[in-house]
Amino acid sequence: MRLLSIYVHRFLPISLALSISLLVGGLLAFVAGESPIVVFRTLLLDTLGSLDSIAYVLFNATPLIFTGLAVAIGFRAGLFNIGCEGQLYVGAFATAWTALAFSWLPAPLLMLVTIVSAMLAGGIWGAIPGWLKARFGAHEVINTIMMNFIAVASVDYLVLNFLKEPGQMISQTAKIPEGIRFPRLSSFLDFLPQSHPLEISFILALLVACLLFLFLNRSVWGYEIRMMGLNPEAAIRAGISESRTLVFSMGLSGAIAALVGVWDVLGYHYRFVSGFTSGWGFLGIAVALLAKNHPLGVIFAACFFGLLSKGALDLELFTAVPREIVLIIESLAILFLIVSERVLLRDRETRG
Amino acid sequence: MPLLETRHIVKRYGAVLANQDVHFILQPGTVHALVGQNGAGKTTLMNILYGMIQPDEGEILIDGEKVQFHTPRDALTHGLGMVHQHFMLIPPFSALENVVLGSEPRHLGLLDRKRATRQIRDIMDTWRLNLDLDVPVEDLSVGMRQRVEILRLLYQGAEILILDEPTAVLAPPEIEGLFSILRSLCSRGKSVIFISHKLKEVFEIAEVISVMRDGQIVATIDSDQASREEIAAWMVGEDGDRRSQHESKSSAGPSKNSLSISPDDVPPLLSLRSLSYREHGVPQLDGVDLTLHRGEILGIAGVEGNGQQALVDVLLGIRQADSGEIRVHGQPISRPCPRMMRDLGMAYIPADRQREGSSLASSIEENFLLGRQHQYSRYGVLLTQALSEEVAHQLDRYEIQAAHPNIPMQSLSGGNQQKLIIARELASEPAWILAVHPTRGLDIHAAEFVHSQLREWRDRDSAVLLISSDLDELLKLSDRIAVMYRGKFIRLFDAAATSEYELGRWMLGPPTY
Ligand SMILES: Nc1ncnc2c1ncn2[C@@H]1O[C@H](COP(=O)(O)OP(=O)(O)OP(=O)(O)O)[C@@H](O)[C@H]1O
Ligand SMILES: [Mg+2]
Repeated sequence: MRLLSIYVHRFLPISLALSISLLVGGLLAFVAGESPIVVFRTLLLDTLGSLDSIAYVLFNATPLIFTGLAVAIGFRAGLFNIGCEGQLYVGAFATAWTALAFSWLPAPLLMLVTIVSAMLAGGIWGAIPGWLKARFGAHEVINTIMMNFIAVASVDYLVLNFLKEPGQMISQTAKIPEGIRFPRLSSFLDFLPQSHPLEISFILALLVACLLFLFLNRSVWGYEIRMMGLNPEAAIRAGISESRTLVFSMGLSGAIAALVGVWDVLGYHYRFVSGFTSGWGFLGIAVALLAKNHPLGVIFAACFFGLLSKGALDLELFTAVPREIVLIIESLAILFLIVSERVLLRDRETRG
Repeated sequence: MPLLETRHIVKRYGAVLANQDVHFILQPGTVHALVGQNGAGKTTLMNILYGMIQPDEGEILIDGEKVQFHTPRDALTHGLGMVHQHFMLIPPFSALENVVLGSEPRHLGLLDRKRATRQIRDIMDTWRLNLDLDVPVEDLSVGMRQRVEILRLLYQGAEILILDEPTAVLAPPEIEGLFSILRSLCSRGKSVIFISHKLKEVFEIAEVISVMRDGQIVATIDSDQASREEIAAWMVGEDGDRRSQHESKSSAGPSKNSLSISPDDVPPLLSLRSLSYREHGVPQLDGVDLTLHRGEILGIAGVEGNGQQALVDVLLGIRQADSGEIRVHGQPISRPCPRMMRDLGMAYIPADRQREGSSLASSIEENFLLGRQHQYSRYGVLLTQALSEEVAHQLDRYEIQAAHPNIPMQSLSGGNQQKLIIARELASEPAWILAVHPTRGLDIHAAEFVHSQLREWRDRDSAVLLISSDLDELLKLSDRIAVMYRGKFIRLFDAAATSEYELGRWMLGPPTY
């Protein structure tokens, strides 16, 4: 009975939303002059058809897990963090700078130091809007957006003027030491080709999601964050400090977003490259919405988005439909999720 | 022919039968009271009548015709309107705007203020219902907000008005005001369904009384043919014996004589010296002096809006007094905050259990944890096992009807929500208890139990600051009663030597003899 009700509340709306959005996507493909069957085959079967391409899906999902978690924790505290883009940018810069400036440290220690410094940088970057809200009541949406611009502008300035690799046209730093680059999973898993970019960050992302789940549900601070998000008035009256919760949850959010920077610098480019981000911070909002801010749900939502973006490439290569159809499916999924919840869970009366 | 009739209404929530086979008949032009213990199914039935929820089985007939309500709007078009216990008004809008909201008379697409005012004035004259239409609702007292709600229903053409525990939030004079409105409504053919836990009120206003128990209507009697004892007996039913035993056991114990002041060398638990607080330039607290000793219950009487809310908030530390001094255990507190006050031994029963005391979407266990999360943790990790055991124990002790400790708070009945919050606050071994309308929404039996708990804490040398709009309750529980008027305590009574009448007079300001 309880299982059934959990199913109805949690999974039914999501599965409905996903199937309907895919169906509508198929319909649109038909209108665009392509057989829906072909589209689905490319989008789903081909993408999930080989271990190799599944691994690509996971690779795509990795940054989205981080930003999805970052946005979700903000939402849980009742805050809308639109600043992940800036936080991950600052995080990436901190990673590269630490890795280059302390390159004399032994590799394992250096790896740890870079990760910590990235999380600190992103955390502080996130905590500032939190503090501004606690201190002056300034709305976090505006401030996190502003902080995005500040982050990109100042990091690019620093890289261009102080850290640019000499003799290069592109604004990027020198490569980081070999010893602290994240190992690719292909070196453990024989079925992946040597060049496959999936590396241990994905495992790290899963770990962070699980830790965050435990943190939210099993720790005092996680409980306080949730209560502040659910009913601030009651939380404050119960003795939970509003300003501390604001600053802390935004800081945590920023620190997790910064891991995207670590992923890119230590795991993919092996250096800081200006403009490396492709909107993961904003996609993270969609991921968190689809996951209903559940840390473990974020993993699946991120994989769904990862699948679609892998599929988008293939669609463009192999069919006549434009890749934008994937964007439509993504947006529809969220729209339908919201609607189907309304419809399915309507029996929510006020109690007296 | 009955105006409204329900047949075989059944509503299940999982294994819980909130309504089972309910037959309810409402005659035109009557005030029909619905009474029953917490969790009996009253609100569920009313929500069904109002189209908020759909019954699993059964039918509703209006004037003998079968109807089906999918939304409250459907119910309204059939002349059925409901005032919820938690008002659904928009605070910054004026009373007028709130009344016409959703069915505004328009002129060129804009609100036709003149016509609206005229229409509403007509209604107000017809029903002798006074109200200042231009004031924003947030500046109105609770009693006045209730009038806005009633006016809104009348404006939308309601013939049947459902009022779910309307008097719980009102002070005695406001209750009188409400009753005279209800009488005038009924004398002109409208009907009212009235839910209350106070049998005194029920007998005063209702012509017919229906008693609900365990989801069924077990009796419907004309009020002049029944006695209070009879109704009370119907409400408890066969469990009556078990419950009264429980009650006598819990209220037994050393009774403490009132007004025994602690020895001089023991500082009072709480003392306030000329505490003042202004909001938007308006004084809310105007030099409040108060001393709360160990082993006493100090009642605060007053018409709502005379500074009680500010006093509570300043004591909690969510607003800071402009001047004056707060001492706890003799120590001055310079910048109080809720966490600090709680650590100093305060328990707090808020006036509004939903807004100020709980998270409706969270489970019972999580709500029980609120404010006590540090006690139930080690190294920052929650002790879920210990919590579950304590919750199970308290659910049993307070007879809170819950299918499972993991169901969300919002699926508890109003009274059971209140019991849970009291259980949570009193389980924390408080040094003193700030109780604001602690028995709001509780049935007689549960209110009795909470009273006995408060007395027990007093007898164990804690203290209670009791703010209540229920004079009976104040007189029954308190050792001393202070009357609050315009942000000041204007009179301090020995509870044994005063009366409801005297308190009532002082509540309206210092009497001019
Ligand atoms: N949404 C829901 N989910 C689960 N159980 C519910 C839900 N709504 C009501 N119930 C259960 O139905 C029963 C009747 O509740 P109802 O609110 O109608 O009681 P009531 O008579 O209004 O009580 P009170 O006097 O305390 O307000 C309760 O046991 C309650 O727990
Ligand atoms: Mg109720």
